[in-house]
Amino acid sequence: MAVKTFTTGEVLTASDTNTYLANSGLVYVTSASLSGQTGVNIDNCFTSTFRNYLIVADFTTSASETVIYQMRSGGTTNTGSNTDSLQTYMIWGSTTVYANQLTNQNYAYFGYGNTNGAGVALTLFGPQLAKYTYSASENPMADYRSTSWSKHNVATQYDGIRIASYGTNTITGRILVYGYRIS
Amino acid sequence: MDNPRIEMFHNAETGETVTRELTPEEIAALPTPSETPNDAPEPL
Repeated sequence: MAVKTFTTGEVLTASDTNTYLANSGLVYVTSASLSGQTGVNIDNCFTSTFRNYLIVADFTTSASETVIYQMRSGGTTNTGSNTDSLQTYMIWGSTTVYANQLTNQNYAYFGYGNTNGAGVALTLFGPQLAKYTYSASENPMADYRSTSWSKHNVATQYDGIRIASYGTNTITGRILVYGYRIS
Repeated sequence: MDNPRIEMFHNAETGETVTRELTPEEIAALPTPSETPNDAPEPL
């Protein structure tokens, strides 16, 4: 029972409440709080419980920095040249749209950060399934807003993700992983 | 001189979190500097 319509005067039971909590659309999986590290490796966060995931981050970086992500499997970061990315971004105060692309890399865009903070909402489609993994992200931050899409051209079942600075600037903030409930 | 690469390793299954410097093997597997991730008109 994912949805139930209550009528006036009807009692909200413990059973109903528990059912609603268990059947919420987004289910918290795990989180990590960074404080001056260059990245985080989150393992065993993608399982067969869900098909698609939402990763939400708010963070600062010690200086302007590109933050990337890489898929992980069995505690090892993907090193294959199998990831393509497209990105558009705009600078606050301008309507000009710029674009970037990456081809045949072992990483993808996560977003940009700086000392004034940034946010990222990254949706991962089927990382734990034995097929290509796709992603889409939104990233507003102090200097830019960027949107990125990526595809991982290999049918690998990933169970983890590495989110890290492309350079060596450090990250401080929180990264949360949610699963989209499938039934 | 570059800062050391200190990263967190979080196991969502056990809840265990370890913070440590990357090993030489892990550093060797990082994207190389020549693989510029963007050509933004302003430095990022």
